[in-house]
Amino acid sequence: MSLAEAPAAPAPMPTERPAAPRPEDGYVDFYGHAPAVGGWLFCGWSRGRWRIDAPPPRVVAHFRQGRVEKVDAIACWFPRPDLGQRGAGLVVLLRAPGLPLGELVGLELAEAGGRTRALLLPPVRPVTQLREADLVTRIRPALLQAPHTPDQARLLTLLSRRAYAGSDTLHELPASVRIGLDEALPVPPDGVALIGWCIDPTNAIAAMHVRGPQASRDPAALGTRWLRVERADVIASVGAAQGLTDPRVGFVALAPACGTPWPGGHGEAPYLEVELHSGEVAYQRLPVPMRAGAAAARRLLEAVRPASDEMDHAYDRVLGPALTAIHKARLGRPRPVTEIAFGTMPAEPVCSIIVPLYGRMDFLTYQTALLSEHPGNRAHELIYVLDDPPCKRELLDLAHSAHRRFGLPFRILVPEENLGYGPANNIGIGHARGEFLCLLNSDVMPAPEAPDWLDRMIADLRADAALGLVGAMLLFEDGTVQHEGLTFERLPQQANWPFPMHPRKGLLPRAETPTGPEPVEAVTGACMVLRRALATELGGFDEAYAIGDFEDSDLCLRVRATGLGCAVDRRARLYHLERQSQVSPDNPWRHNATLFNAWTHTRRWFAEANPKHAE
Amino acid sequence: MTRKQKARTSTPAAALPGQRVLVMSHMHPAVSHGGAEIAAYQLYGALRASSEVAACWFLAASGGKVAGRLGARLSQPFGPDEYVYSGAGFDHFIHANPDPEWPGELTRLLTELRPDVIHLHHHTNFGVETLLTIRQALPEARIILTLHEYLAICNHFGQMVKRPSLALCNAASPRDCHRCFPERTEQDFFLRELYIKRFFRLVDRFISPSQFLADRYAAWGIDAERIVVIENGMPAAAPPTPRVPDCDLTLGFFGQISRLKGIDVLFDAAILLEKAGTTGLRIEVHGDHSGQPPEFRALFEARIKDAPPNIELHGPYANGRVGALMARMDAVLVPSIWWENSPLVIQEAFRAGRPVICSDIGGLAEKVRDGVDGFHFAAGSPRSLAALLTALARAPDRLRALSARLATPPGLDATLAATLGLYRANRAHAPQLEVRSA
Repeated sequence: MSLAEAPAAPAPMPTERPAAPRPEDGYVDFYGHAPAVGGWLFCGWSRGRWRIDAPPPRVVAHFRQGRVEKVDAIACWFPRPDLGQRGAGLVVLLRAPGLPLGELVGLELAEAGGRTRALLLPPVRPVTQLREADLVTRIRPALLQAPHTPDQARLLTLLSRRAYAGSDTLHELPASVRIGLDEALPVPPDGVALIGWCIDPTNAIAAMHVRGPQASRDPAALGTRWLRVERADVIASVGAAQGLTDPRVGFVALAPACGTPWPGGHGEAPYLEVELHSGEVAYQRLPVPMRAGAAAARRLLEAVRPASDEMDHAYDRVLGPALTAIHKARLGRPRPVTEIAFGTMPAEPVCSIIVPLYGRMDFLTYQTALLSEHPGNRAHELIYVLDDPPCKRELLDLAHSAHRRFGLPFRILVPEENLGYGPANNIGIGHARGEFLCLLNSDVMPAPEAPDWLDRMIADLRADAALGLVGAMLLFEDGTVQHEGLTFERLPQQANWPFPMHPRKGLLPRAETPTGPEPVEAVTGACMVLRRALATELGGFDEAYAIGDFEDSDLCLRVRATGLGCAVDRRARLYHLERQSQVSPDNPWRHNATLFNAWTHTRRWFAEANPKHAE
Repeated sequence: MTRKQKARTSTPAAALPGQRVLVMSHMHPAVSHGGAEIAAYQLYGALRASSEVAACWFLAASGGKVAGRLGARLSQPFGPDEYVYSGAGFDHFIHANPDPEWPGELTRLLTELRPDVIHLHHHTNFGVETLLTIRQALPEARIILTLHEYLAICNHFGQMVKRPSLALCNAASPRDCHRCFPERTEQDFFLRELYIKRFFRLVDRFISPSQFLADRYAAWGIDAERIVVIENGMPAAAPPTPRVPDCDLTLGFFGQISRLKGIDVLFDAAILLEKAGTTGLRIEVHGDHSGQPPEFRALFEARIKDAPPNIELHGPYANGRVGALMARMDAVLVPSIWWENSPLVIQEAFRAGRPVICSDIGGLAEKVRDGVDGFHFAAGSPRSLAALLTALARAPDRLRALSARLATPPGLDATLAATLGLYRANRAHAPQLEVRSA
């Protein structure tokens, strides 16, 4: 392939400035962005041209504030009798979103092989940018005169598309396509997660996009972030008539950046665009969002049950980015906190004990009753963080009574909303004054035989500057081990992601007497002690984790990444009334939340080695 | 008096005449007639009369039966040295009293009275945290706690029988207790034990009216060295009147008519005896069933209607008449299907000079020596009771012969002496931290 009548030498096309004076290859008469067509349309003429059957050219559109390139392009030549032998008419479609890039500077077309010089077509002055309707009206007659090639036919089909007008048009498509959208969940700042079903028995759909009044920042089709889920109800109702049996017609899909913050002002809502292989498009409105924040996250987590071999894809492509974004936006809001003090805390506490409360408020009564027995605890300050704001009244009554009865001073921090385990602890850390921090769960109780557990753990840290974080030996109520340090184990049934394991859990403690802290990979957040300076330097628990697991392991790994060690002192013994069946098949969302945390943890700490296929 | 108690009270103690004693009871006997409050009040009266006591006060909880004064926790409706605490919201599960005003009110009272000894009967209504309030207000005072029933051990009204079967229970554990109370988790029962023991560690000495109950508490984790067995003795009474023998052996049941008191065992045994054609004995049932749950009342009233002629319901009696009623019996029946502790009815029978036929368990078996103070039968077994009664009907002299050799019930004076001995004893050292064997 070669350029006919190729003029002058090649010159790089500047983006910022108009082209340098030189003999022009041709001109762009008018251009504009056509959302219904799905890209930028340029119409002009050129001295050079390709053969009709040549592969599509590489096209770069230069604007004052950027350029559009490396996208699907269609170019069609059409006769321009007015030009005689000097050139031919040219229509170019660049399938790209209509970003605000400023005025057109020029269009650059190069042969697909790239061996010869590119054509440079500056716009005719004054530059004419048209709206979609005018573009289509003026280009269509010209295109009808062009030679009948597949590109010409395709371009004509695209031009015949109608723009989204606020109504559903799926039924107008010449194919048996049915789509149900059950729910649209906003994924901040401008993404959308869709939950629904799609029946396309003839594989007519080429691509789907979530479009909006503002152009998408993500050109990828919805199919690249798409999870199939079982929808027996859909098969039973809609699918049966078409003889469908595979229940996996449901989907959860993510459009991570569709350009339109939603719900936003002006009633501007994104919509679903369905494009067939034959070029036709149709639209479907998105349901009005009913959930945001934690409720939206939970809805997403409830919608899927990926098999172990589907988890990487599910979390990498859809759930992970969606949940991370929802979570981050939720926690990004300001966090007003009310503080209520019961009694007078030591002026310079050695250690700040931070206990988040959720669900069972009465644990405060037990814990303060038991902590009040050891006189050494008077040197520390006790901080409760209510992570269950509806329980505030109950908690304050209990706290008042407990303080009067046991005499142990403490503070209660009340955020305005439930933030989750990690953020609740971080609020406590932000209010702590001790040299050390003890992060303690509300269902961990001091054992009568080891009342000095905290003094011992602090002494461990004081004795060894290389020790960053120390955990305790936690026992079930029957005296068997609940925790004596964590290890990591890849679970084949859970995408082969590493999960924290509790060695010796459920067994009686080893007979030999421990003599000091013993190094471990990580310790549980149910009871851990570290210097406040270190915790502050590390920013406390990472809030990327949802609900409450893995952030303790993450913190340990970050402590170790600074070069310090983690250890368990088995002489510090407490009871941990670990609740049963937090994660059960009955609440899949909770199970999936754990998987989300495991995914976050894995991608952060175990990205390098994944021996998935080694086993 | 048991061997252990002798050892405790015989330690040479500094003579501390002029002790100041505060007796605390979960109820006031002016409004409630349970054994614990009666025992506490009798002791209070004896202490006041003792030359070794300089001052003595009685502090009872209202238990909802004495109306308090609006905004005040303490009132004095019964005289200058008696106080009533009116609180609300007692938590019977962990024996906690969440009243935030109580610690301050009690502290003020203790600061004013400055007792050397605080002797609590029961911890219900006051709450086990009261022990901490006392310890904090008066670090040097001796805290004595008289145990009633197995309340700290067992959430089933402290009776150590299973729910709902009423089968005998030998030991509490979170797993077993959760089975009796599925609405509470194992963890809740574990917390309950941690909580109660945290405050029991503040007690210098526990008093148990029976060795059996002392052993149960020791097995539960209370340091056995801190438990002393002292019976709740009764005031002196007239000497027993000898039984005027008539042709039939007459046996009496006295007390509350309830399932746990073994009333069904008694009626079933009577039916067996009737069917077997056993003659020469009759059973009188003295007591009240009006306070029982409606289902039980209905069942019991049906039983009465169908009862054989050898058993007869006599209904409630005034407590002062119990001696006279018992004098008409050849023996007193105590067929309880729970362990009991040291039931008053046994002391009453002995004071009336009557042997006791009782279940062979717990405090009953301890207080009634088989073949000496009466006879045992297999607890909960109507067949065993019927067999025993059949044998006694054939040879009534076996029973009547016992009357002369019965154990002498401890009197209030003995209880007072033993209790004062305990007050004089040195304070317990730092309470030992008991570890539960899992």
